[in-house]
Amino acid sequence: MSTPTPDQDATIVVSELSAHSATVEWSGDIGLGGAAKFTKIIDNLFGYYMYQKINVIIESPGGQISALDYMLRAVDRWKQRGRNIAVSSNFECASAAALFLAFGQWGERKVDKHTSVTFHSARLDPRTFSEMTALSSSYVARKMVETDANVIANLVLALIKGAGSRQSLARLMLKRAQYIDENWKNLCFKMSSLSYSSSDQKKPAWINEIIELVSTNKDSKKFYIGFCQFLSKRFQLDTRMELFEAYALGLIDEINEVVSDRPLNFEKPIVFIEKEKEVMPNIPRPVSRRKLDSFRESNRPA
Amino acid sequence: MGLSENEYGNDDDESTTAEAIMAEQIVLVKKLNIHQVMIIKKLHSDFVGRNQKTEKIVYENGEITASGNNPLAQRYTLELNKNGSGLIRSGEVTLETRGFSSMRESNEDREMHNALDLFMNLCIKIPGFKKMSTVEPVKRLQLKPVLKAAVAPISYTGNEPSFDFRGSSLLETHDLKPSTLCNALALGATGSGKTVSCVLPLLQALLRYEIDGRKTSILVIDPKAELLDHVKSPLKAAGQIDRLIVLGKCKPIDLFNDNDGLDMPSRFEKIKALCIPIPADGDGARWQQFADDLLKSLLRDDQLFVDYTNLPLLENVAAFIFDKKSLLTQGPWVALNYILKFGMNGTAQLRLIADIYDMLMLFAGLYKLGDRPINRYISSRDNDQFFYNARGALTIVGLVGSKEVNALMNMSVRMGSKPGLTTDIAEAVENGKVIVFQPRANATFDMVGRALKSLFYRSVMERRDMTRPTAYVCDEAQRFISSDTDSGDQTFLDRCRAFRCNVVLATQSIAALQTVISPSGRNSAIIDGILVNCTTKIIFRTPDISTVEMLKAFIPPNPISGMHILTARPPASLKTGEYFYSVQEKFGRTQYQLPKK
Repeated sequence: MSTPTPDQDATIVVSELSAHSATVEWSGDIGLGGAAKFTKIIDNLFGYYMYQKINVIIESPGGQISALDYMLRAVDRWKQRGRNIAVSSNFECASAAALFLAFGQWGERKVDKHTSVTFHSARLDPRTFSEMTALSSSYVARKMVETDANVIANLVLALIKGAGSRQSLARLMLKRAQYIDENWKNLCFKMSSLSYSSSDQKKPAWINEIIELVSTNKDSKKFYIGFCQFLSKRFQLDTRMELFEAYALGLIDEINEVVSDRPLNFEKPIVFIEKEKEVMPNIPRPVSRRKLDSFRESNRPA
Repeated sequence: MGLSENEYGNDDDESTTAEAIMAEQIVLVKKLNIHQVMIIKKLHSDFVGRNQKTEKIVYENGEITASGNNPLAQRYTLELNKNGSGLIRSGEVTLETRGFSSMRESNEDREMHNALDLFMNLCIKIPGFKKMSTVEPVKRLQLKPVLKAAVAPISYTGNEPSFDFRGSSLLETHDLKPSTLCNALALGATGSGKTVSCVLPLLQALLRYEIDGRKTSILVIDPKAELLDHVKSPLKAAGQIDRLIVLGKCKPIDLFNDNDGLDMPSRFEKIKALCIPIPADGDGARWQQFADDLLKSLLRDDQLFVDYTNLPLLENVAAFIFDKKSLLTQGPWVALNYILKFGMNGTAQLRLIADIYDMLMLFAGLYKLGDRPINRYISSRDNDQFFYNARGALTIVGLVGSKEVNALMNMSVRMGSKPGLTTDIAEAVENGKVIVFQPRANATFDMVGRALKSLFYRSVMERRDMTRPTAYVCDEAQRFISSDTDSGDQTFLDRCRAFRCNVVLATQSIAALQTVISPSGRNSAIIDGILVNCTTKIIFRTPDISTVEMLKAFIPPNPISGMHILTARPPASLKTGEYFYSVQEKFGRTQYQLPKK
């Protein structure tokens, strides 16, 4: 999965270094160089400056999945030591950047009301087309399907971990969807601004789809599989995702000045208390590093 | 000790000589004041009574008579003033009726003093007077000091068990050992959380800590009265409440004992170091020297008196002046406190002290052996000098001689005093006890804290069982810091690792230590010594520049270019309970998470 211009370097700036918080602003593509730089920056902010939480503001059209993977592993290392990264975006957050947002610290993923958030399935770097053969294209297609499945499985697992359990995630999604359903007009009004009006929008279909997804899959195993399938379908549309939809699906936690869990008093405070014992269903195994490397190798332009 | 009549029965020649000498002085002797007569009476009867002598001096109608063959049995006619005659008959007088409090320097007073002086000189010249003095030198109880054989310290090896923080971690590690912690210094402004987030968890871990079944002996100085409950409840829960000793609720502690190998002057120097943690310099040192000389002379005489009579001199002087028997049991420092303050009131008062003092020495037969430290000022007519010297002496005596101190600790420097029923800190250290002291906020209690610490340090270093872990935990440590070479913190901190002792000091800032130890900056090496030997440093919220500078010394600059962490996140911005730390070669910034209940 990559954006059309993966080699373009991102600008990564530590814009704030105060007593209790540090902010990193990322603008540009997510590439390998940027990922390495970002990792070094957060290592320094967590390691030397010893911040407990870092805010990352990301404005990116996306980038390479391998770079995202590298960044997420670095973030995960610090998460295990009790440090957090709150991700937010103000203007554009697509592809790998959107995934970085969704993988961010649970409860701290924030967007502005006009942020463009786009989740999509794996895409190829346009330069690979020129050297693709029939044989390699079938291999690449298989790998892309695997990558999609892997990304979605990991994303859903991260959301479950953030919510505390599958049931909690399901309940949260249901409540959010119901809240949006009940307050649709009001929320649309809140989304309006000087440059954009959404007060006359009709209720979208995804609200009922999410409610149905949760209510028909009461078994946690079924919910997991259903949610993975739902996201897979949604990502394949390759279109900008409505922020309310992202919110209802648990991919973001707050739309600035419009909606967040805090006033709604959703289950966030109790999700960590409720721990369910469950057997994990068969989920697609994560693609190994070796396979990813070979995949990248195969996609590398001559 | 008793004297036979034969001993008084001197030959006639001697008596005649005595008579002749006395006749020469009779005019002056006549001017003896009623007060002085009373003094003589009381002193003599006291000593005679104490030594079970049958001889008595009787005063009637202005005449002194003594029974037996005592040379004093000769009659002297004394000229008494109007008030005096009545008082003699009444027999019992109080200080106020004697009019001491309103005594002023006058020619009459001076004459009376001279008269007494002459009287004493006269007595000395009386053949056999020394024998008459009813008191023979008493051989001091020559208890051979049981000097403990030096026991080699056994330092921690690093293989000892870790502290148990009950699921929490301090300094971001679950594997903190006494050898890793070594000595810890917690610095932080008031309300920064150093007691709750540092002192308390460490104290509770130390309470639980044991090696091979040997529990940790701990001294806890808790000026904020926050720690005692947290010591009590875990000990109670573990069925070890008998380990707890709370100073003030137990018997007083002897600061010195005959086995400590210290003579009286050394003990005095220790007391001085406890009261004046930092010696004065310049003119102050000179004045302090005079004050010390005065105190040393008084204490030397007192020791001499005790050695010869088994009775305390200073307590008797004070009890006599103030007519308070209770002063006899309150120790020499309380007596000195009374005596010096009384003497500072004026020349007349000073003379009274000198007279009583000299008379006691006279009756003990020590007149020529003593220093006559008070009389010096009278002879040189320099009672101002006494005022300043006594004022200097009161910086020590005022602290050591307070009643509060005596309730907690016996700080007498006398040699050969019989051990009373006291709390033995050395035994407490040997048996893994937890000694808690909750001092009030005044200089007296600060001094007691320093004394207790000094005693604890000594007990740690002289204990028999060197494998037992020990610890000293002190909140508000700037109040109890000391710098003497024997028990000063910088000296002990240097050695305590070898003696299996963990020291935890909590204080406001390095500036707070400087204010106490090195206000002029001249003793900054002592602070450096403390900082160097506290290998674990825990810094809570503080705007203190010295502390920040010290932090910069152990937190390196940013490995990739960028501002120093202390510039970006200064210690002044730390939240309550949040701290920077440095332990061994590791540093960090974290917040202590209270254990889950």
